[in-house]
Amino acid sequence: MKRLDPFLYFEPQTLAEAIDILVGTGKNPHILAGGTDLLVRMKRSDLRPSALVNIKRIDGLKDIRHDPQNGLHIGSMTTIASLEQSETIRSEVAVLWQAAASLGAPAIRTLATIGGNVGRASPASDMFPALIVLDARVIFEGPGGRKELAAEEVCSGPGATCLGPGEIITGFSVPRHSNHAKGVYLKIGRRAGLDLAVVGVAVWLELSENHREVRKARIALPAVGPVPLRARKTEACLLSGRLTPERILEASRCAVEECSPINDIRASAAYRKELISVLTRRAIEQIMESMPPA
Amino acid sequence: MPVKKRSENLSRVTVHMTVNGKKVEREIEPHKTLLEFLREDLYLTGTKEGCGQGDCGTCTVQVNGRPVNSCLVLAVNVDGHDILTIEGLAREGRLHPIQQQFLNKGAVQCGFCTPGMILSSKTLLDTKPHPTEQEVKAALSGNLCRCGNYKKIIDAVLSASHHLKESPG
Repeated sequence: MKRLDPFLYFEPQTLAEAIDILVGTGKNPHILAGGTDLLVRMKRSDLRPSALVNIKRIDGLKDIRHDPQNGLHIGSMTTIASLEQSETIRSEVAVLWQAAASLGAPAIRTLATIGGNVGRASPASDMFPALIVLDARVIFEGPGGRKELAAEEVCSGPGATCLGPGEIITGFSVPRHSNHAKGVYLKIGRRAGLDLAVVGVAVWLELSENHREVRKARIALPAVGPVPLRARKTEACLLSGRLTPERILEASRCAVEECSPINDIRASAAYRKELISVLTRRAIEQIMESMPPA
Repeated sequence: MPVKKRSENLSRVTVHMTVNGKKVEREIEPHKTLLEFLREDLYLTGTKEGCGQGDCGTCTVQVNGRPVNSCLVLAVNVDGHDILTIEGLAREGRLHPIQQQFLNKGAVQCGFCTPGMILSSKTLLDTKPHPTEQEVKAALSGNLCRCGNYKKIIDAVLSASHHLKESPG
């Protein structure tokens, strides 16, 4: 039986208590949210927290609030399953919904949280690319008070965020978007379910009113670099002028050039590059098909 | 459980839960997983450890009607919750329709994945009484069968969905 080593254990009732404990306790305190990544790393001895700080009792971290004026707020402790089951998420931020639906498997999604996924900052994170293309902001609180960062600024390296000691992600805000905008998240793993992305792509496009041109493009890819990659050059390929099949192909080639995937246990760099080209094209095509020319 | 005013280290936590319809109250150390607790404290050994890290699904149980990998849940984290294990499906010696169909369809080879498969299937049928084959596959995507018996397992779940219309479990 794989067992955990003992640790100090806290169930703070408020954020202030949690922050206090995180800065004041021993060598290596860790936040416990869903635990679906944390416990695995602990069982492998990749992480040896001196203390776990279970933040489930803190109020106000599980809301999903939508306001046509201000956009969407998602609490950091919202489970991936809650996102998957939320009609608001499915209709307002489909790309985030698709990322949630692709994460792990049903039992993992029951426990895993969006805050945990972001805080873990895996290069293969499904939620990060979706948040990046939605121009989401990450809200966190710590000893220095409340702060916000654009999602794409949060990862500082593989498995690392720029959050400091005691800083806890409390939620995500997604600005309101035009009716002529849509996003898509596509993912390929070694299996159809319960796998990390070998390659993924999140594409979000805001089209002109006649749906023939791209006004704004956001593209982000997991698993092709040390942090989720915002593919700015590929985005630029799609702007200005009519979006023809040739331009889409050009963009998919551009995405391959912008990425630096590695050979690892799941796939080779060459295969990943092939997949990136296909997925980028598919994602763009799907968005264009869902918004036919007016 | 009593509310601690200023957060203190909880070296043992008194947990109240319901397991298969019965109330359970124990003092548990925080580093014990729900899987360990079910097997070693409650002697409910139907739930299995395969990988111990959420990749195989043999430890699947229901918490408040939702599927979880019990190897990744701390037992102290189910305070106030409702747990269903494989032992909780049969009623007075009568198998649940899902269990019966697993037997009827030859969906049990070595049997190791079976409890987890059944719990995941039950969650699906609780919420989607008439699933498509694709929906069955998605619901079981976190459960591995190393005997490779997937086809019969899927058949069993689809068959159970017909039988459950007659005798809801």
